[in-house]
Amino acid sequence: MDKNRTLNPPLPESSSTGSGSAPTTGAFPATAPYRPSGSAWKSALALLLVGGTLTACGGLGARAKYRGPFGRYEATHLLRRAAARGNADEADDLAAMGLERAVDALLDTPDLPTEQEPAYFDDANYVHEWVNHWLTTRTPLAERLTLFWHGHFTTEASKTGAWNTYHKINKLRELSLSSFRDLLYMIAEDPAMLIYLDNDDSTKEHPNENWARELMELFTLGEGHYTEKDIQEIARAFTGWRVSYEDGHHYFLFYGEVHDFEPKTILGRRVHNTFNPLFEGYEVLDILLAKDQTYRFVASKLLKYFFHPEPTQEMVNVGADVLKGGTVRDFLKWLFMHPEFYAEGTRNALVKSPLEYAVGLLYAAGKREVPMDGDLSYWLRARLDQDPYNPPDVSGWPLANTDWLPDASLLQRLKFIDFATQPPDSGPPPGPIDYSIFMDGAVNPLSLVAPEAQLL
Amino acid sequence: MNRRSFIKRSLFTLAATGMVPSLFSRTALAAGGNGKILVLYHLFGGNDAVNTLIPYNQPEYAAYRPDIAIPAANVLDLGAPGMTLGLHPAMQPMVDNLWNNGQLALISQVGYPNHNRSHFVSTAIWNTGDPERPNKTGWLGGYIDEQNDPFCATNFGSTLPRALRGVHTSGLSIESIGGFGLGSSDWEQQLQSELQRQIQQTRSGTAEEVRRAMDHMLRSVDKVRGAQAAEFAPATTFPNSSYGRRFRDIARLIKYDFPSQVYYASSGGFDTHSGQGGVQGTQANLLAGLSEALSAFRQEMILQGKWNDVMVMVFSEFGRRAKQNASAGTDHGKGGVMFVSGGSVQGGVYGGEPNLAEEALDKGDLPVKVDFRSVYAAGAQFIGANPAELVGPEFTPINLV
Repeated sequence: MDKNRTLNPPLPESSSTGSGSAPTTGAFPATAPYRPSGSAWKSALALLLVGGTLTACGGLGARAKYRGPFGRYEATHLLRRAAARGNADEADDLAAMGLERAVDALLDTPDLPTEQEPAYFDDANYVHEWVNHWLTTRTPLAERLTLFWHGHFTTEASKTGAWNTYHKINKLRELSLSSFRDLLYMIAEDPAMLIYLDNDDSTKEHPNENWARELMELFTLGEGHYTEKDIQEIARAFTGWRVSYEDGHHYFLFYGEVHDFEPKTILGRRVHNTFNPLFEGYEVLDILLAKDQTYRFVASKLLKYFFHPEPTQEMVNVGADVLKGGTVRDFLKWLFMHPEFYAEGTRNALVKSPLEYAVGLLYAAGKREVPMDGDLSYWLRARLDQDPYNPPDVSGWPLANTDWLPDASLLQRLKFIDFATQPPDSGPPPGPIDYSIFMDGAVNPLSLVAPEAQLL
Repeated sequence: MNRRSFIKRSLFTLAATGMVPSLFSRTALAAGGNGKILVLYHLFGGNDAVNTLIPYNQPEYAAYRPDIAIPAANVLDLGAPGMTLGLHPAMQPMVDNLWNNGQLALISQVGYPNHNRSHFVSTAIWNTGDPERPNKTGWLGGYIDEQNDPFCATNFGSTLPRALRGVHTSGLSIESIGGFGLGSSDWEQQLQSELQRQIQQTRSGTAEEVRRAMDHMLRSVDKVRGAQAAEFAPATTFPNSSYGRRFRDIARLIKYDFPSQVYYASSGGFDTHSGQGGVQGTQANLLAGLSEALSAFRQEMILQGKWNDVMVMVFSEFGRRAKQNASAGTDHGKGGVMFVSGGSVQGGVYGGEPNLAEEALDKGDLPVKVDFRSVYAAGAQFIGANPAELVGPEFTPINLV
């Protein structure tokens, strides 16, 4: 092993405060929150896309483009997949733009709701806030994508406190279309995550392995690509990554006094930085971000969520290349313009999650906010089996497949039709009543008992 | 090749060579109909075995766990011959009602070889009975396929556990008996008849999978309607906890002679990385809830005259480290503890007293001395299924009955 080699740590945007401190004294202020993708990434992407086309075979390569018709029928499929809500007028608008412009429009920079302070939620419901935003935003794809990232980088409000998970969801939305690197850097320093996976309690005497394990098993490499020893070493590298609590909020803070200053070996790479020990964590992230397996793992999950329950290995490999060299936006643009995306076997191949089902149905019924005469968050949590703030466990939710449909929740989905489609007490709903995006061929609430209503 | 595609390929190969049909052949399994009932209860998160079945007399115990060790005076000593073991003080009801009646088997140091510390992988292994290839079907899947009746196994909860997934048939999954059904309003009546019409029409791909799920659901609704109509006012008071509600619902279906021979339920909260507590606290509350509910269930089964025909198996996907961590909690470990109870169960400690000496541990964890599949085998045997077919011929059923 090359003993002296350490990876170049990424330079944080504002690292002026921490690097001069002696490693064993005091707490290092938080640095390097996350870096938005800059132009360097774009050129790297361009190179990789060129590389991708050289290695890809036949029509499934990174540059393979759908060249068939793009009318209301195809735009309906695209809109339903991307946004999980819509109506025929919106599909027609997309069709009129042509495929590429339509895809660009869906992938526009996410519309960000104003972040509210914790006190605001004394009288407001976190889940309803999210649903209301999803029902009104001009970038609904960002919401479906944020739900994906929230299921991938899971936290449970019951452990983190609801506001911390809310804040994490807001940051995921902001970065939802950025590079996977940006997302991973953000999440490693996220207070909700530091609390959720117990890194906040980790010390050199007693490193807590929860974050280290899930970082590899669930967030990057997937099970089977690392050893128990790697987990222990990563846990040591992240000792000191904790949260502080000031003015009613948690912040990321590095505490040198609980950091383990001994060298670590992670996936065969030596990690040792006594000058700025905080950077050992970044080095670990970089080691994981340099692995092709990370992108295969994440691309496979994205494809199961946006494309097909069983994507081919070739789609996964090409998608992984696109993701590694670029952003999530590049990945989705590649997918949404891919010939396989418009194949008949792709249409309606996915199962809506309860949140998607609820949002899609409310929108189709013309609703633009959660109904006042009932508790949507209760429906989601207790009946439809998806509490958006409390995933069932650290592995998040099923990925758009029939695992969502045991008898009990399927039954509740049917009962929910009545709740969602009831006209408001006063006057007509604000939006058009149009079920055709929610389900191909649906004309009224009763049509929605067909199996196709469950599909995306 | 990734593991998933390997699994798929292996299954395909099995199917192509005709091995799958023989696995599920009627003669091989010959299950069902003996009137016995197996209740599986999963403690999700990894219950800390060391603070459940406590080797409290070993000096390492208190030394390993300065913040969370249960003082010897509080431990409920079991008086098991040759062992100094006791249960967590929160489990008093379980000692009074189950252990003292000789109806509680404690399976110590239970698990499987090369233990996996991931909740999900390990749960999949416990539910499939296969540490090598935890695939989509459960260890009871073969039994359910053989019965070809989705009501032969019932899960309480909204997510069907893999244990009850077969190749052709899966068990029933209901959240609670009361809330399961379509009402008599005009709208729900209309909805039902339209649904009946829709599911006549077969589809392809995912739509067909959904259609089958709907068909399954409708048949389940019909079946449970009977149990709903039947009166259930047990003399037993079940605690108002998630455990209590689950065991009450199970008792209710048993009373109604529901055709399930297998019931499955789970409760979470056992992933005590921080603030696990000692005599009181997180784990104590969980164990108390379980003990009270299980005691009530026993009493109700006695009143129904069914206790001798019931076997309850409580398991968790792994145990936890012998030493506590910095957060007054414990991290994922290996060997765990199972509880098996029932009127015909032979109480006792199986698997021996864990040895906490550093050199006796498996890298800081309790080693695995009993393979969980030999416990499952006893459960399979109890309900008249063929254990060798469900968990493999190498696992001889533990002599629990």
